[in-house]
Amino acid sequence: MLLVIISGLALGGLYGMTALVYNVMYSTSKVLSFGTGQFAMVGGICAAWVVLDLHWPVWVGLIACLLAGAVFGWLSELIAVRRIVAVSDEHLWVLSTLALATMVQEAMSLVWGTDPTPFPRVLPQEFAGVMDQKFWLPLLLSVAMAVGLQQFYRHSMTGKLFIAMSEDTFAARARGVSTDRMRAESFVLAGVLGALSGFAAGQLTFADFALGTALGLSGFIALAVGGIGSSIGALVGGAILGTLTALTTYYFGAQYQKTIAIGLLILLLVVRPQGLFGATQVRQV
Amino acid sequence: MKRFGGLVAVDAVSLELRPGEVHGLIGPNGSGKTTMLNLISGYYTIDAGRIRLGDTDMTNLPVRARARAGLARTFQTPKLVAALPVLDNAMLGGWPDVRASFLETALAAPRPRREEAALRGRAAAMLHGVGLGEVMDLRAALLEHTAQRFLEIARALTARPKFVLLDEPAGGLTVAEIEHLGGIIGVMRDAGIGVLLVEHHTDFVFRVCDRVTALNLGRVIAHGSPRQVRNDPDVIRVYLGA
Amino acid sequence: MSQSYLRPAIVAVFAVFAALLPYITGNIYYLHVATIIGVYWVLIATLNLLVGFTGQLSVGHVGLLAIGAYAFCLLAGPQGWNPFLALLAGGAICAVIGLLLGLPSLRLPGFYFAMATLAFGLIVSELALAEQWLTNGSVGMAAPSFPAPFDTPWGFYWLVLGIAAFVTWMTWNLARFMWGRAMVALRDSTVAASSVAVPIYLTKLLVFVFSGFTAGVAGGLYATSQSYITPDAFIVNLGIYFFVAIVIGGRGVIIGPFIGAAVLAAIPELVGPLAKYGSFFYGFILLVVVLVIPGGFGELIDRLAEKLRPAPRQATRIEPDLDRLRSAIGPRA
Repeated sequence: MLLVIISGLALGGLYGMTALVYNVMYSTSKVLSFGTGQFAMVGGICAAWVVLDLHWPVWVGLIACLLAGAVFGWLSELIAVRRIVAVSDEHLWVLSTLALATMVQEAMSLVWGTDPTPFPRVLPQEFAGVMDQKFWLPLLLSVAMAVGLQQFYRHSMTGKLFIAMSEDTFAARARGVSTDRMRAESFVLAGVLGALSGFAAGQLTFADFALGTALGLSGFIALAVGGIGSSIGALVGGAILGTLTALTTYYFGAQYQKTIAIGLLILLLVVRPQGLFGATQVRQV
Repeated sequence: MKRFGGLVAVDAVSLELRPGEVHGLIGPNGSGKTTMLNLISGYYTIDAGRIRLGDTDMTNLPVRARARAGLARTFQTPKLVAALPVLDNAMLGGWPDVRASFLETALAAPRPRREEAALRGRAAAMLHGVGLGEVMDLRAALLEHTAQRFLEIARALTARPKFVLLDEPAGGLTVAEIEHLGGIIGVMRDAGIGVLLVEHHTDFVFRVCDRVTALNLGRVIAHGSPRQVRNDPDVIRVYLGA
Repeated sequence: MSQSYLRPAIVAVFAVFAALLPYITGNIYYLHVATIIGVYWVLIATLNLLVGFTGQLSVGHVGLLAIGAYAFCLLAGPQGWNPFLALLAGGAICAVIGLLLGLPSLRLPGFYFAMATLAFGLIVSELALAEQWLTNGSVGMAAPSFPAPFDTPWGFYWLVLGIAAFVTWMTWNLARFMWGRAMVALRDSTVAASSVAVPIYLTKLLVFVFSGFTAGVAGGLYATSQSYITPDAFIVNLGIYFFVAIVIGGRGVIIGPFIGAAVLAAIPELVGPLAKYGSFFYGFILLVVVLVIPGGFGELIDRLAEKLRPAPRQATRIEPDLDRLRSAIGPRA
């Protein structure tokens, strides 16, 4: 039972990190990218390929994974977002990010294959039950990521500019902020963080081409439950969803995971549309 | 009363619109004119106070219900459906009169056909009336800014409203166009429609309005006939002084 | 909107061609491809109302297609219902599901709806595999065929053609009357829509329910056209194909998405190797279209026609006709 809870929390860490990645991109672009979950998928597969197929050390795999995430994030902004944001049409960015996510997923399935492959051990640790690295690694990293992002937003110039853009892009541009560049940087950061989350949780999820879509969904549920824009919300939302998923699987079987997850989302959104920690009020006129 | 965060935008402002009367609302930038209009039409929720139409309390009704009750409006920056032709935009104003259900429409039953023809005629007449008869088939996005303002008025009139709220309709118009606008507002008054005119252009307001309310910093500083308001020392100070 | 007799003429020519297709081509395989296009069109026509007109992206419409297909097979097969009744029942089930799915999610920003439908699509394909007592899992189930005269390839083709034509007609009606204007209005400007009292939430919901119904019917027809269904047939990526058809054809027009659907369905069927890269290919096209011609070919053609037409003099001088206005407003209750 303890193992179920711990694995749920670890999974929740991964969901929480995905929600954080959503937030990073949302802050500068107001885009919720369909490709958010694909960062982790690409990062995970890239690391697995470098370590297992090329037989290089784990740290090389980590670097390769982060690089792949950065490049993918940068390309996402360049290809699927930049031109669309200029038109500011929600309809279109959903389509463009969906199209890009589909292409990446299909390309990966053709290159890597459709079977999930085990992920290499990251640290030299014997399997240690609930204290195993595959549980504490994503959990610890998710907390570190949330804290790190808070520090980044509060203390670094780039982070402050992200916040400024999320408040009012036009005002930021009027003050001479290069909004295109900031947006690109936020997507690169998102790509790196997403790939890192895929690396940390790799032993949990395996290197699987189909991870992206499911993770994009779970991460979004965590985000919506916690409230868009909130780092604490992302972690809490992820933890709730992860635990619930693990318990559902334990008691009813894996096939009801998504049903329960979406049920949670719908229930919460009926009661509290802005999420647990969100406070967005939209002005229409 | 309306607050944005800790900022009180309008406070203790009382307005009464009467059928067949043009009521002007003037004031410098940030005095709360547009906020008032958004409160009346329902885009902002009111923090304290009441809004009534006749005997019905509308304070908590959503925008849509207020529009159904006979309240039409235009916007400072025209809000049109850019992809649709001018005529279709005007016809949308008649939505409150549409009774044909979704299913009836899907099956092209007699009722949607009848309503379509009636609304088409009504909207076309309004468009000719405001001077857009020549461009009815043009996409709304292709209209110039001034023409878009007149289209919004035609859309509002197609709803056959009891009251029309005009948000800075004279902005960006030429002298001749302002003249036309005055004529259109006059026709609305004669037809028994109550008009609330929010406007920067004080000369125009004093010319066409029956009564005028002047706001400053969210409070009423003068209220009465155009002559009274124009000669009010507070109004003169706000508009001329520092 | 309507100039000349060009459009009715094109529709008439196409209708005659479509009706006589079995006589024009003796090739059963081409007929099968045409049937599949018709089946997809029953779904895409109304999805176009949802995506193209109303601006709500239902990513998981495949889930509705699957439920319609399984409902049809179960009811008309083991339960022994009349196939036509089963077809309608499948549609009704999907309409109810659409209602349940739309009620919470259509009140929220569009991305929530997109995600909710994506989740729905994934759930359905998982459950179709897992709930073996109902669906036979990955083994799949046989689809009953329709009674004579619809039991031959051409008979079935005509049945699909008839249903597709009827659905197209309903879609066209919805698009050309006030409800269609309401859909476009709430897509382009919720502020404008609410200012004229358009019931935004209700409109989205009705369109989704209607679209769910025809997706269910399409599911039943799909099952028969394949004669055997397995969960593999209903992968979520099929939804990408639907989107591409709509987006490439042009949002806000009806005939464009049909051409899109026909071309896109025919390409992988007729060009073998493309089938393997199908989803990648569709994703690529979707991306290119969204970036280069976001309004699709339909809008592109409209814009070109607009340019070619003798430019109507801009109403730089607006001359109101106050007498006419007076009489138009005049008769007030």
